[in-house]
Amino acid sequence: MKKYLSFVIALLMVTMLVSTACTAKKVENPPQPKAEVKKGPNGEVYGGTYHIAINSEPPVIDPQVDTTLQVYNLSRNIFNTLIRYKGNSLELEPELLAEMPKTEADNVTYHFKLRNDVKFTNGTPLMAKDVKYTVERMLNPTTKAQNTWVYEEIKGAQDVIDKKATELAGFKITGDYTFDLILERPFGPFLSNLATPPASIYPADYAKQQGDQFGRKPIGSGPFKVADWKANELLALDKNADYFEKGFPFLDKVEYKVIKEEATRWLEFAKGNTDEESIPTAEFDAVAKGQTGVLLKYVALNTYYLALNQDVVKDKRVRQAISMAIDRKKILSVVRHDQGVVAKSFVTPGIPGALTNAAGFEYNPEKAKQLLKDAGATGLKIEAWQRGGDKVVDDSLAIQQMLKDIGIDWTVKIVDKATFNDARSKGNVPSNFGNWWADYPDPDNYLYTYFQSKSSKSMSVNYNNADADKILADARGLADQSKRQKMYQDLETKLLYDEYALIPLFHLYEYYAAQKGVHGNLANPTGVGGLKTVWKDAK
Amino acid sequence: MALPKMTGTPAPAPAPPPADPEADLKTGPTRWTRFRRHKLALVGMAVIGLMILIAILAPLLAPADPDRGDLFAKLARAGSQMPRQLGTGKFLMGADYMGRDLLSRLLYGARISLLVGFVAEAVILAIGVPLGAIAGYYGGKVDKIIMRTADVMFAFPDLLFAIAIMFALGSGVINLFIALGFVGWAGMARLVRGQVLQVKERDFVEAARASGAPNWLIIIRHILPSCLGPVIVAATLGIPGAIMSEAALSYLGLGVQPPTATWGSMINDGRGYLLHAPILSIAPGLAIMLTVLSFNLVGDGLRDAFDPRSNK
Amino acid sequence: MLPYILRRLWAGIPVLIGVSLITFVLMHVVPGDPVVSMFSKRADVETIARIRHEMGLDRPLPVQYGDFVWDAVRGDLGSSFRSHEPVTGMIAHALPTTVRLTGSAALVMLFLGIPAGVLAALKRNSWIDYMSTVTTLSFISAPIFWVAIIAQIIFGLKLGWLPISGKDHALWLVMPALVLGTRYAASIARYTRSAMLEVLNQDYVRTARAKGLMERRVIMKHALKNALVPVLTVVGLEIGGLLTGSILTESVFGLPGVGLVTIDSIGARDFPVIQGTVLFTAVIYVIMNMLVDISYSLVDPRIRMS
Repeated sequence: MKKYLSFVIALLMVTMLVSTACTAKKVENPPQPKAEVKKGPNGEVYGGTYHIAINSEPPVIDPQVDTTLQVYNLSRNIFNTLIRYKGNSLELEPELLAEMPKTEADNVTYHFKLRNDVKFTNGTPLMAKDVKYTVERMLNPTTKAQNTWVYEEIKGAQDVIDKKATELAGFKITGDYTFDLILERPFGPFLSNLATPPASIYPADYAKQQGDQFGRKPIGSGPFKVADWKANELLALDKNADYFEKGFPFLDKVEYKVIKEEATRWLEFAKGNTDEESIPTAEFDAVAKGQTGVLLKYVALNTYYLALNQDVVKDKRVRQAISMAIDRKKILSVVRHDQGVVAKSFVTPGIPGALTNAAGFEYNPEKAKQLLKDAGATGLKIEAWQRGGDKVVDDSLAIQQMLKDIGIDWTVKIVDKATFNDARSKGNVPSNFGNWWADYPDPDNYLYTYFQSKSSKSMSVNYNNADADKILADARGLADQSKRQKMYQDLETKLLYDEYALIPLFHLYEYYAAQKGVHGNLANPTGVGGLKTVWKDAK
Repeated sequence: MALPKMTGTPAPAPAPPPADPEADLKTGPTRWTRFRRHKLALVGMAVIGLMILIAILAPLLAPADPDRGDLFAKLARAGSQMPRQLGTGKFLMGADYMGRDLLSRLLYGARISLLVGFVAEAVILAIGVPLGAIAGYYGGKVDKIIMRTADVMFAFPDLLFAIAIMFALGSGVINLFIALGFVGWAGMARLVRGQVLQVKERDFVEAARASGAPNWLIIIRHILPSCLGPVIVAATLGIPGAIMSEAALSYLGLGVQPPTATWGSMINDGRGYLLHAPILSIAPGLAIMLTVLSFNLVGDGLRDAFDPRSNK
Repeated sequence: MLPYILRRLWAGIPVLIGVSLITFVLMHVVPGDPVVSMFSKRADVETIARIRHEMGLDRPLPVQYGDFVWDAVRGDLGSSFRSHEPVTGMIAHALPTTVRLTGSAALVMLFLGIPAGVLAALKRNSWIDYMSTVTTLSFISAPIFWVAIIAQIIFGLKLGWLPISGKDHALWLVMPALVLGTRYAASIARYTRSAMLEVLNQDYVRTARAKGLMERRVIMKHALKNALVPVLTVVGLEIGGLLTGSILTESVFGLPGVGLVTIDSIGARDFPVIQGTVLFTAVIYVIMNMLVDISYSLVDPRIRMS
């Protein structure tokens, strides 16, 4: 009997020993010979590893099929797009292109010319055929891409999506490094679409050969390349030594470590084991005072709002009352540490065509109560859905308190992401505190998404108005920019200040903590950022 | 095993072996005396009594509305003055991250947490006892079907089962009862079945059967009362299991609806503040620990009292 | 022996079928669609329908379940909806971490539980007995994620003795194994105690004592040996708890184990991975129970395998 027990124990011991042995094998890197620190033109230090903790690993690094910000950020490290935002401005500039595309007078034909010095990290040059393959891959239904919207305005796109064609009619290769794109109809924001991470360019032959495994073994032309990927544990990137923008990147390595628990991720940051981290509410003061890391922030194109499903809250007086009951300034200052501005519009200021001269929303709980009385809405109960895992609970609770003061019982129900998305896409979420980050800086991206009847239903706003639909469709194809912007501004004024179809609350800065000695973090206004320009002080 | 094992149960309570015939003969101490000798169980009993009292009297004891706060009083220190609209007193234990009185939330939290424990266990009993009794008494096909289903429930990771139910029903107290009850019934059924199997061949059951009493009456009148001991023990140990499960589900974002205070949700919400305002998480954590420990001690004592074998 | 094992495995098959069926039904009853959940921003209806069709999610449910069973029988659990990796490969990759975690936790459980139980039995109703009970019970009376984070703050951040998370440090196992293992020591201690009490009163121990053998040898050789029989059963039963506990432990400590794969797949409604990991856990459960029964009969020949 003792024999068996000792056997069991021995077995367990072995397990433990083996595991320690396995990990113990990993020895510290041998000390590097002291080399002279290499520096860039502006004193940037070359070398070093950048550590980031992530909530979960990306299932695939393929921005055509994955729409998360995490994959978008990774894409900026691994791939390139034809066009990009200049620094952190809203201005577009060529990335893979030799020059900005030339447009014909018809506003539907664009001439593109690629740089001829770009190579993928497997050594093959990036050519027009790669771009064509990439675009067709997105539209091909077998890819199961979620981001087809990027190319849907190109002529013949719908035929490829419907499997009526395999080749895209509106894509014409005119040389090894030149091609034309022809749109179905004029579409103002088209070039902005090409600057989004989903428009990253893949190597045709390699991607074809990998099929649906491409996203696990991605190869691109970006400043970094995947060096090691241990499932659910570690994703390591190495510098792309042949990167076409000479001098970039500065870092040797980037390591993404998977840590599911937010509190644990913060402890790792506090211990100095990671270089950047989003700031838990509780830690904001410590970061702001410089006790833990430093606070980094930049202006981002977003709007945080309260959505009220038109099918649930039908009376616009009630919606107005709710808007009046919310002290936006107080929430912004206490819950969001004053990291943003109170919203006067839904389209974020800074975007051409945003409602810049609006009066702003009044805070007046007394008047709100009167409005409710006029509407005969007493003892109102509205259920709000809160997507589980998002860091917005505190705002929701604050809104809840404020609405309680005017007699509205705004209950918050926490639902997990999958359930939430499902219900929202069917128009079934009664109310929610949400946010929208621009995909491209154009009112169309906001207003069409939230107020075009079909799209509005899928956002659970359920705004349904034929006039608005017509304006939104017409404005899309309008070439006259000032007329177009006026159309959007008029529509938005009506939607927000007359109908209270959505209740904008504030625009937040994108803010996070980085370790002291980290420099060069840059993200474009849509919140996407790569590590190409990042560098760390020499140790 | 009547307890959801997801949060770790103190001791799975497999059906105690048939009572030692010798023990019956001995003029041993009665159950109550045996229980009373168990000092720790008595302490546990007292603590539970206190907690129940707090839960009942929460509206009288709490200095403020547990769900109302003022953002400007966010994380106010212990002893600071409450904003006027919340009450006239002071934040005796400070305010939480929403400017709500922590002490009031703690007191009200006892209500939901204990309720979850008792009701979930009641659901377990309501499903598990009849099924176990039917399986044990009738045997044959009925027994096979019920016990096979129980086997499947055992092999199914119950945390995942509870998650699935909460996903399907959404967060909320009632849904918690259902989820935890559904997860735990199999253990109770297995336990009761084992007991019934032992009892049903006894003389007094045979006698009742001979007198022509209907089966359901025999089960209720004669069989179940003799299985009471192990069932009470298992139920007592199941309550803390349910309380802990509520905490685990809160951690996964599947507990009650905010702003309702439960200890589990308070621990979870306060977890991010452990470095700067540890009391937000530590206070409900200690409350849950003390309560769960007390239930376990009482369960332990009851087991000794009902199972003469372990305390000769 | 072999026929017995085969018979037991055969009996496990209906259980596994039941588990897979329940999983399947739950997956489709629970709101949240695998395709919709992939979208992080807008989700337009046509795109969703198109992707669902490509993934075969628009086929009748019995057909989908039949396909799963047919593939599973041949050892193919399908591929993840999201990463397209084969599910068996994902489990195989994650398994070593979970085995090390639960194995070490089981060790902690035994090394804490058995001595605590023996001590409690020997010094019955003394303060040592009470201490042993209260201590072991305290460990399981606090939520695991809470204990884990407090331990991380104290030993990882403040004292710096142990790594906070991950497995790229030689001592990575220590904290998670202790946090997980100590929770389950209470039942071991409890069972050791009552088994010891019983055995200490048996005739042969009395005889041994009467023969003048030294007390310690009596305890170790006779009493403990026989007391361990029921304890072993409990160990087997606790494995289920350990496996479930490892889900939360892995998630807090950032360990790439099976539990993490499971939780992620549930959040994303990655049906093949959910189905695969749940089924795998059930298989482990069935096998562990069988092993317990076998070891039970091995240590105590009086118990016949029937």
